[in-house]
Amino acid sequence: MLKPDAAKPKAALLFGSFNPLHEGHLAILRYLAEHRLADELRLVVSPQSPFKQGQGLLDNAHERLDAARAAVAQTGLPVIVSDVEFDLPEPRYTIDTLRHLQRTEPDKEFVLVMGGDNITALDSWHLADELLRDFEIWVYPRPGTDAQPYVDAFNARPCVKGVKYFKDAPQNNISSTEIRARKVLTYDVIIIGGGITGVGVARDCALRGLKAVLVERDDLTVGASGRNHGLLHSGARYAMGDPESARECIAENRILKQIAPHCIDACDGLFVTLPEDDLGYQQRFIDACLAAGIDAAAIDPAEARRIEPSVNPDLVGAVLVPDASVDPFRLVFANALDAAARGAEILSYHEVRGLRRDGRRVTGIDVWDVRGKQEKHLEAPVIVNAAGTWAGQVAAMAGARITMYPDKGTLLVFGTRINQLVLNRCRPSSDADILVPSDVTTILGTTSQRLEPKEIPGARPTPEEVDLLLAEGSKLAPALLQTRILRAYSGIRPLIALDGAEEGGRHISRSFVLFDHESRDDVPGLVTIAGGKMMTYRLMAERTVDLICRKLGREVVCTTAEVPLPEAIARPERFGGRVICECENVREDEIRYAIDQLGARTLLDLRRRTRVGMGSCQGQLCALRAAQMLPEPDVRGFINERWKGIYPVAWGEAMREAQLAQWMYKEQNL
Amino acid sequence: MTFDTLIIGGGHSGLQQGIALQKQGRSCLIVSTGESPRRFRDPEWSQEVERHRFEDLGGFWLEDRVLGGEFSGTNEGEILNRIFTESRGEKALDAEQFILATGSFYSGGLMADPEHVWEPLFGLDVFFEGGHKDWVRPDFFAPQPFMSFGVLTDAEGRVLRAGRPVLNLLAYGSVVSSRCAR
Repeated sequence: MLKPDAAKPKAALLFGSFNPLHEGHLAILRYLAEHRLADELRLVVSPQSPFKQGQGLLDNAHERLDAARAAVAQTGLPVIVSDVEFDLPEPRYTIDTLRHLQRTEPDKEFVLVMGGDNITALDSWHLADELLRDFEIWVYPRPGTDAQPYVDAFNARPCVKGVKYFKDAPQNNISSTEIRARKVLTYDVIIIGGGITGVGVARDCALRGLKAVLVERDDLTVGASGRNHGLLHSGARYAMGDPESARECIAENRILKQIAPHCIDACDGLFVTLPEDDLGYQQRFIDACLAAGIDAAAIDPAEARRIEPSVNPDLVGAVLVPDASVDPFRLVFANALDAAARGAEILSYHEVRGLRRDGRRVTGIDVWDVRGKQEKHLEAPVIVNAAGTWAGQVAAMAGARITMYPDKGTLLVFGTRINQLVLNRCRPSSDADILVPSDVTTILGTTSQRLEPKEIPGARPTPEEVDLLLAEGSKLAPALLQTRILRAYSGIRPLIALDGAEEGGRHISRSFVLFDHESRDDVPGLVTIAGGKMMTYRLMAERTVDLICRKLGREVVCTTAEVPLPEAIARPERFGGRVICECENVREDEIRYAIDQLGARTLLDLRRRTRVGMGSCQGQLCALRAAQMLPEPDVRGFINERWKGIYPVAWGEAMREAQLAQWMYKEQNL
Repeated sequence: MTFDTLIIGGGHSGLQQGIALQKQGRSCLIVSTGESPRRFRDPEWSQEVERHRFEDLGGFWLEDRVLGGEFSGTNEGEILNRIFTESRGEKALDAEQFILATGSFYSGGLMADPEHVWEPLFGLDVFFEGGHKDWVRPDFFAPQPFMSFGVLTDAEGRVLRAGRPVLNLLAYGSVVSSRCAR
């Protein structure tokens, strides 16, 4: 039987960060009040919990204090919310606060109230013996913990003032940690997908003052955005068959050269006619280009050989067009960094687990934070599906149907820059008819093969595709056959069926579609931007954010065509330190920058941010050196990933590298 | 100057043979391009140290590139009469016994295009199967067929040329197919 001390009134203290104060806390206060166990009840809000730093919902201590006061006031309970710890010096141990209270209020007796889950660790508290000797402790039960043995053990010790266990007090199956996990974060726009389209939408939103969050289940650029030939189209490729795409391309070509010059090599391109091709096609091609607003001019074959010595010397015609080469990794990270600098949140390694619904409306998403290992809940009035090849799956979660036509393209990277200009065949599009210079390498593309969705995860280059690429590509530039192939890789084109053409004669477009699922499928809150090309990502983002602004009633003009992109990946010459990757001249300081500023954790992350392992040694010499600097060194996975690109081209010089890799890595315990 | 044994290749295998033969009192000449990869299974191995050991035992070292050889036929097999090098031109080198220790793909002792694997100095018989699609496995850590490719030898370690043994040309090291390696 507990009796209040007649000499000194008892003040029971419940310590905590109360982030937030919840029903479990209030239940124990109510119990103490109803049973008149203490003369006074106090909540002691700690300015911070050293164990929960950086996880809080209410990171500001004063917000927590105010929230606790408001919550207590609502209950009408006679509880004082104390900010006494706010003025105490750090470190603030419970015993220090109790001593402080004893000194300032000597006429009161202070009792410490704690949950049964805390008593188990009481011995590890600062000056625990002193605390047990001088202060009574009241324990309330917590689900999942049987505090009784601990209470008994403490009471059996000498010099313990008394530990009381209110076994019958109400248990509340709740904790602040769980509540934080349930907390919903709200935004204006949620973007699903961290490819060029998603980051483009995020940047456009940020520039227009919308609060945007982007979630990507893997790293940025892992899909088609990091697996293409890096061609900055002039539009000439589409002039004959798809004049609308051609016009979009040339407009965006001019804009991107202005806003992202650091991502672009404005090298120009040639469309060449070979003896086996129809020379009559060339004039029709030029007419179509001019009609679409693309500067295309026929040049003499001799002049073509002079400006592009690698071209097949047998060519019978050539057309000069403003094609260029773009670094897709730089372009994606430039957009993402600028979006983040302007207030957008970019959450890579966050996988969408489900959509939050209110009737048919999509109100948010549940995401799994892969690296933080926790679930998060995000809500926004508009959710943008920019999942590329996986857009169909995202739409399906909302009960909307869009049909994607994933199409595999395989490309080859050559170890030297063979051509100075982009080389195209002047004929209807076919396999292996584009040769794009890419920094110090050349990329030959591409093949085209329709895939079933289940085939997407295992899509790899095949030796047959490599043979086809070489046979056709060497007609453009015969030197290809004598040049070392660094690797082969495959990307998936996220082609989409246009509405109204999904049944029967399927019309697949290379152009993009923007679906407002509210009008299309009666699914308010969801928008899909899909299809299209890297080339037109900015325009796709502009149209998407125009629609978002209309939906939100916040008409703001798009400025992405004028505001230049920052230099996301700083130039190598800016960095010092030991050289880690000789092939791409990546130094220690750049790797630190990628880890600290660009969020790299694994070797694969690092490759996408610094080009480590993309040069002539394909990571064999640098992987172990770079791995030592990374939080998650995954050498085995990295080497297998690089091997995916080497084995289909294992002959000639690539065979030497293949053998070296086998010697170096096979016998090590990775 | 004549030598008992002429070794083509101054890497791990060539030097190992050269040192062993010098110790047995045979006079050896090693013709080496001067470049050798480090030995991956034995990181302590140093071409420079071993070369000094070889020369201290009286061995001769010539930095040159072998271009090819001249063969003659006998009933039992072929004989390599002499070899030609880049810098000696017409002045061929001859020896009673030759040893091929030119290494594998990495060192240029073997070469490959998409359909063939060959030994570039003498056009010796090489073990390989199929085309490039058959030489590799998608899993890096699985056994890779191409790692077993190399020149074929008979039971005495003599290389084969068009199916006939070359009586005075032995092969050592990674140029030899692992199917024939002793």
